[in-house]
Amino acid sequence: MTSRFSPLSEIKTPQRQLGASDRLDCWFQEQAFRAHFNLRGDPQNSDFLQAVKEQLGFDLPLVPNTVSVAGRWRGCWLAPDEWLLLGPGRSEPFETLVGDLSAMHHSLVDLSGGQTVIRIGGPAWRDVLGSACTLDLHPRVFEAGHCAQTVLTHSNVLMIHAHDDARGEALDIVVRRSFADDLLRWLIDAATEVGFELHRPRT
Amino acid sequence: MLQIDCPWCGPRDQDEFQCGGEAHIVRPADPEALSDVQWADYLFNRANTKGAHAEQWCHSGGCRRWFNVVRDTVSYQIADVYLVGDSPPKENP
Repeated sequence: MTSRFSPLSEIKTPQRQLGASDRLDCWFQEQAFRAHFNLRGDPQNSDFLQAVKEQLGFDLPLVPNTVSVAGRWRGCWLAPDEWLLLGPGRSEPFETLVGDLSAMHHSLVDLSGGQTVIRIGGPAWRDVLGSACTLDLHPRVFEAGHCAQTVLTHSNVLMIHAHDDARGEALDIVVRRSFADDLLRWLIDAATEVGFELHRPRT
Repeated sequence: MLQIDCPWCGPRDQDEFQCGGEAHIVRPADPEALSDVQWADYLFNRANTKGAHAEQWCHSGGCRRWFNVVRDTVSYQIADVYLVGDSPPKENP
Protein backbone atom coordinates (compact mmCIF):
# COMPACT_ATOMS: atom_id res chain seq x y z
CA MET A 1 0.00 0.00 0.00
CA THR A 2 1.27 3.45 -0.82
CA SER A 3 1.85 5.78 2.09
CA ARG A 4 -0.79 8.38 2.85
CA PHE A 5 -0.15 11.96 3.79
CA SER A 6 -2.48 14.14 5.75
CA PRO A 7 -3.00 17.59 4.19
CA LEU A 8 -2.00 18.96 7.59
CA SER A 9 1.27 17.10 7.89
CA GLU A 10 3.04 20.42 7.32
CA ILE A 11 1.77 21.66 10.67
CA LYS A 12 2.75 18.37 12.27
CA THR A 13 -0.72 17.83 13.62
CA PRO A 14 -2.05 14.57 12.32
CA GLN A 15 -3.41 12.44 15.11
CA ARG A 16 -1.62 14.62 17.62
CA GLN A 17 -3.05 17.07 20.02
CA LEU A 18 -2.21 20.71 19.81
CA GLY A 19 -3.06 22.93 22.68
CA ALA A 20 -2.02 25.36 25.32
CA SER A 21 0.25 23.42 27.62
CA ASP A 22 -1.53 24.03 30.90
CA ARG A 23 -5.14 24.97 30.33
CA LEU A 24 -6.80 23.51 27.30
CA ASP A 25 -9.37 26.17 26.54
CA CYS A 26 -9.15 25.11 22.96
CA TRP A 27 -7.61 22.16 21.18
CA PHE A 28 -7.37 20.93 17.62
CA GLN A 29 -7.02 17.47 16.27
CA GLU A 30 -7.20 16.18 12.77
CA GLN A 31 -9.46 13.24 12.14
CA ALA A 32 -7.32 12.02 9.29
CA PHE A 33 -8.01 9.29 6.75
CA ARG A 34 -11.73 8.93 7.41
CA ALA A 35 -13.96 7.65 4.66
CA HIS A 36 -16.02 10.43 3.04
CA PHE A 37 -18.75 9.51 0.60
CA ASN A 38 -21.11 11.85 -1.15
CA LEU A 39 -24.45 10.10 -1.59
CA ARG A 40 -27.24 11.39 -3.78
CA GLY A 41 -30.60 9.78 -4.28
CA ASP A 42 -34.33 10.31 -4.24
CA PRO A 43 -35.56 10.95 -0.68
CA GLN A 44 -39.09 9.98 -1.84
CA ASN A 45 -37.84 6.49 -2.69
CA SER A 46 -38.39 4.37 0.40
CA ASP A 47 -36.23 1.53 -0.99
CA PHE A 48 -33.32 3.94 -1.20
CA LEU A 49 -33.75 5.12 2.39
CA GLN A 50 -34.25 1.57 3.58
CA ALA A 51 -31.06 0.33 1.91
CA VAL A 52 -29.00 2.89 3.82
CA LYS A 53 -30.79 2.15 7.07
CA GLU A 54 -30.23 -1.58 6.76
CA GLN A 55 -26.51 -1.32 6.19
CA LEU A 56 -25.44 1.77 8.10
CA GLY A 57 -28.09 1.66 10.80
CA PHE A 58 -29.52 5.16 10.55
CA ASP A 59 -32.26 6.95 8.68
CA LEU A 60 -30.81 9.45 6.26
CA PRO A 61 -31.60 12.87 7.72
CA LEU A 62 -34.35 14.58 5.75
CA VAL A 63 -34.46 17.70 7.91
CA PRO A 64 -31.96 20.33 6.70
CA ASN A 65 -28.78 20.75 8.75
CA THR A 66 -29.15 17.59 10.80
CA VAL A 67 -27.00 14.50 11.29
CA SER A 68 -27.84 10.84 11.87
CA VAL A 69 -25.39 8.66 13.74
CA ALA A 70 -25.12 4.91 14.18
CA GLY A 71 -21.97 3.32 15.49
CA ARG A 72 -19.00 4.76 13.66
CA TRP A 73 -20.96 6.03 10.67
CA ARG A 74 -22.51 9.47 10.37
CA GLY A 75 -24.86 10.75 7.70
CA CYS A 76 -24.96 14.54 7.29
CA TRP A 77 -27.60 16.46 5.38
CA LEU A 78 -26.05 18.47 2.55
CA ALA A 79 -29.04 19.19 0.31
CA PRO A 80 -32.57 17.81 -0.18
CA ASP A 81 -31.20 14.86 -2.16
CA GLU A 82 -27.59 14.83 -1.04
CA TRP A 83 -25.76 13.53 2.04
CA LEU A 84 -22.24 13.08 3.28
CA LEU A 85 -21.48 9.66 4.75
CA LEU A 86 -18.57 9.81 7.17
CA GLY A 87 -17.13 6.61 8.52
CA PRO A 88 -14.15 4.47 9.32
CA GLY A 89 -13.48 3.13 5.84
CA ARG A 90 -14.50 0.98 2.92
CA SER A 91 -15.36 -2.13 4.83
CA GLU A 92 -18.50 -4.00 5.71
CA PRO A 93 -21.25 -2.89 5.90
CA PHE A 94 -20.32 -0.22 3.42
CA GLU A 95 -19.46 -2.62 0.61
CA THR A 96 -22.85 -4.28 1.01
CA LEU A 97 -24.52 -0.89 0.72
CA VAL A 98 -22.73 -0.26 -2.57
CA GLY A 99 -24.16 -3.53 -3.85
CA ASP A 100 -27.67 -2.82 -2.57
CA LEU A 101 -27.74 0.63 -4.13
CA SER A 102 -26.51 -0.55 -7.52
CA ALA A 103 -30.02 -1.51 -8.58
CA MET A 104 -31.50 1.96 -7.97
CA HIS A 105 -31.05 5.48 -9.20
CA HIS A 106 -28.32 7.04 -7.09
CA SER A 107 -24.85 8.53 -7.06
CA LEU A 108 -22.14 7.55 -4.62
CA VAL A 109 -18.80 9.33 -4.90
CA ASP A 110 -15.71 8.61 -2.85
CA LEU A 111 -14.29 11.92 -1.58
CA SER A 112 -12.02 10.41 1.06
CA GLY A 113 -8.78 11.63 -0.50
CA GLY A 114 -10.19 15.07 -1.24
CA GLN A 115 -11.21 16.30 2.16
CA THR A 116 -10.32 15.97 5.79
CA VAL A 117 -11.82 16.67 9.20
CA ILE A 118 -10.44 19.16 11.71
CA ARG A 119 -11.83 18.62 15.18
CA ILE A 120 -11.89 21.62 17.50
CA GLY A 121 -12.95 21.47 21.12
CA GLY A 122 -12.41 22.83 24.59
CA PRO A 123 -14.52 25.33 26.56
CA ALA A 124 -13.60 28.17 24.18
CA TRP A 125 -14.23 26.55 20.82
CA ARG A 126 -17.37 28.58 20.19
CA ASP A 127 -15.44 31.81 20.80
CA VAL A 128 -12.69 30.74 18.40
CA LEU A 129 -15.21 29.85 15.71
CA GLY A 130 -17.12 33.03 16.42
CA SER A 131 -14.24 35.11 15.16
CA ALA A 132 -14.78 33.71 11.66
CA CYS A 133 -18.29 32.35 11.52
CA THR A 134 -21.50 34.37 11.48
CA LEU A 135 -23.78 31.42 12.19
CA ASP A 136 -25.38 31.18 15.59
CA LEU A 137 -23.36 28.49 17.39
CA HIS A 138 -24.99 28.99 20.76
CA PRO A 139 -25.73 25.59 22.36
CA ARG A 140 -29.40 26.55 22.39
CA VAL A 141 -29.37 26.57 18.59
CA PHE A 142 -26.42 24.46 17.49
CA GLU A 143 -26.39 21.26 19.52
CA ALA A 144 -25.89 17.53 19.15
CA GLY A 145 -27.36 16.25 15.91
CA HIS A 146 -26.84 19.51 14.05
CA CYS A 147 -24.58 20.36 11.16
CA ALA A 148 -24.24 23.37 8.86
CA GLN A 149 -22.52 24.17 5.62
CA THR A 150 -21.03 27.60 5.45
CA VAL A 151 -18.07 29.66 4.30
CA LEU A 152 -15.40 29.87 6.96
CA THR A 153 -12.51 32.23 6.16
CA HIS A 154 -13.05 31.79 2.40
CA SER A 155 -13.25 27.99 2.62
CA ASN A 156 -16.43 26.04 2.05
CA VAL A 157 -16.88 23.82 5.05
CA LEU A 158 -19.35 21.50 6.68
CA MET A 159 -19.47 21.92 10.45
CA ILE A 160 -20.79 18.99 12.47
CA HIS A 161 -21.54 19.05 16.16
CA ALA A 162 -19.51 16.17 17.56
CA HIS A 163 -18.72 14.36 20.75
CA ASP A 164 -15.09 13.50 21.40
CA ASP A 165 -14.83 10.27 23.39
CA ALA A 166 -11.92 11.58 25.43
CA ARG A 167 -12.71 15.27 25.76
CA GLY A 168 -16.42 15.83 25.38
CA GLU A 169 -18.19 18.33 23.17
CA ALA A 170 -16.39 19.29 19.99
CA LEU A 171 -16.94 20.47 16.46
CA ASP A 172 -15.87 18.63 13.33
CA ILE A 173 -15.03 20.83 10.37
CA VAL A 174 -15.05 18.99 7.07
CA VAL A 175 -12.90 20.91 4.62
CA ARG A 176 -11.39 20.35 1.18
CA ARG A 177 -7.89 19.04 1.35
CA SER A 178 -6.23 22.04 -0.28
CA PHE A 179 -7.96 24.48 2.08
CA ALA A 180 -7.24 22.51 5.24
CA ASP A 181 -3.80 23.95 5.93
CA ASP A 182 -4.96 27.54 5.46
CA LEU A 183 -8.06 27.01 7.58
CA LEU A 184 -6.21 25.37 10.46
CA ARG A 185 -3.56 28.10 10.50
CA TRP A 186 -6.31 30.71 10.55
CA LEU A 187 -8.08 28.98 13.44
CA ILE A 188 -4.84 28.55 15.37
CA ASP A 189 -4.22 32.26 14.96
CA ALA A 190 -7.75 33.02 16.20
CA ALA A 191 -7.24 30.66 19.13
CA THR A 192 -4.18 32.50 20.47
CA GLU A 193 -6.73 34.96 21.85
CA VAL A 194 -7.96 32.29 24.28
CA GLY A 195 -4.49 31.19 25.29
CA PHE A 196 -3.76 28.59 22.67
CA GLU A 197 -0.09 27.92 21.92
CA LEU A 198 1.32 25.80 19.17
CA HIS A 199 3.82 23.44 20.71
CA ARG A 200 5.41 20.15 19.95
CA PRO A 201 3.92 17.26 21.84
CA ARG A 202 6.02 16.18 24.78
CA THR A 203 8.11 13.17 23.96
CA MET B 1 -24.51 42.77 3.61
CA LEU B 2 -27.84 41.16 2.80
CA GLN B 3 -29.15 38.33 4.83
CA ILE B 4 -30.90 35.84 2.57
CA ASP B 5 -33.26 33.19 3.83
CA CYS B 6 -32.26 30.03 1.97
CA PRO B 7 -35.40 27.88 1.65
CA TRP B 8 -33.38 24.87 2.81
CA CYS B 9 -30.61 26.08 5.13
CA GLY B 10 -32.24 29.11 6.73
CA PRO B 11 -30.95 32.69 6.98
CA ARG B 12 -27.35 33.13 5.82
CA ASP B 13 -25.03 35.94 4.82
CA GLN B 14 -25.03 37.14 1.23
CA ASP B 15 -21.37 35.96 1.01
CA GLU B 16 -22.60 32.41 0.71
CA PHE B 17 -24.81 33.11 -2.31
CA GLN B 18 -24.44 33.88 -5.98
CA CYS B 19 -26.99 35.88 -7.88
CA GLY B 20 -28.10 34.42 -11.21
CA GLY B 21 -30.00 37.44 -12.53
CA GLU B 22 -33.61 37.82 -13.50
CA ALA B 23 -35.89 34.85 -12.84
CA HIS B 24 -38.68 33.35 -14.93
CA ILE B 25 -37.04 33.83 -18.31
CA VAL B 26 -38.39 30.97 -20.40
CA ARG B 27 -36.22 29.48 -23.10
CA PRO B 28 -38.01 29.69 -26.45
CA ALA B 29 -39.58 26.36 -27.38
CA ASP B 30 -38.33 26.55 -30.96
CA PRO B 31 -35.08 28.57 -31.07
CA GLU B 32 -34.56 27.76 -34.79
CA ALA B 33 -37.67 29.73 -35.66
CA LEU B 34 -36.48 32.95 -34.00
CA SER B 35 -34.97 35.88 -35.82
CA ASP B 36 -31.56 37.13 -34.69
CA VAL B 37 -33.25 40.06 -33.00
CA GLN B 38 -35.63 37.83 -31.05
CA TRP B 39 -32.80 35.48 -30.06
CA ALA B 40 -30.59 38.36 -28.92
CA ASP B 41 -33.51 39.72 -26.95
CA TYR B 42 -33.90 36.37 -25.18
CA LEU B 43 -30.17 36.12 -24.49
CA PHE B 44 -29.21 39.64 -23.50
CA ASN B 45 -32.10 41.95 -22.75
CA ARG B 46 -33.31 42.10 -19.18
CA ALA B 47 -35.88 44.17 -17.36
CA ASN B 48 -34.33 47.09 -15.51
CA THR B 49 -36.89 47.04 -12.75
CA LYS B 50 -37.22 49.71 -10.14
CA GLY B 51 -38.91 48.08 -7.18
CA ALA B 52 -39.81 44.43 -6.68
CA HIS B 53 -37.62 42.25 -8.88
CA ALA B 54 -37.74 38.45 -9.11
CA GLU B 55 -34.25 37.01 -9.39
CA GLN B 56 -32.46 33.68 -9.11
CA TRP B 57 -30.00 32.98 -6.33
CA CYS B 58 -27.81 29.97 -5.65
CA HIS B 59 -26.67 29.01 -2.16
CA SER B 60 -23.22 28.11 -3.45
CA GLY B 61 -21.60 28.14 0.00
CA GLY B 62 -24.20 25.79 1.42
CA CYS B 63 -26.69 23.40 -0.13
CA ARG B 64 -25.82 24.54 -3.69
CA ARG B 65 -29.48 24.76 -4.71
CA TRP B 66 -31.06 27.46 -6.87
CA PHE B 67 -34.12 29.31 -5.70
CA ASN B 68 -35.98 32.53 -6.43
CA VAL B 69 -35.98 35.75 -4.48
CA VAL B 70 -38.15 38.84 -4.80
CA ARG B 71 -35.92 41.76 -3.93
CA ASP B 72 -36.70 45.46 -3.99
CA THR B 73 -34.03 47.06 -6.17
CA VAL B 74 -34.41 50.38 -4.37
CA SER B 75 -34.43 49.35 -0.72
CA TYR B 76 -32.74 45.95 -1.22
CA GLN B 77 -35.41 44.52 1.02
CA ILE B 78 -36.17 40.87 0.30
CA ALA B 79 -39.92 40.42 0.14
CA ASP B 80 -40.12 36.73 -0.69
CA VAL B 81 -38.15 33.56 -1.22
CA TYR B 82 -39.61 30.60 -3.12
CA LEU B 83 -38.46 27.43 -4.84
CA VAL B 84 -37.57 27.04 -8.47
CA GLY B 85 -40.69 25.94 -10.35
CA ASP B 86 -43.03 27.78 -8.01
CA SER B 87 -44.95 30.81 -9.24
CA PRO B 88 -43.99 34.20 -7.94
CA PRO B 89 -46.29 35.54 -5.23
CA LYS B 90 -49.30 37.36 -6.67
CA GLU B 91 -48.57 40.85 -5.38
CA ASN B 92 -45.14 40.79 -7.04
CA PRO B 93 -44.17 40.56 -10.72
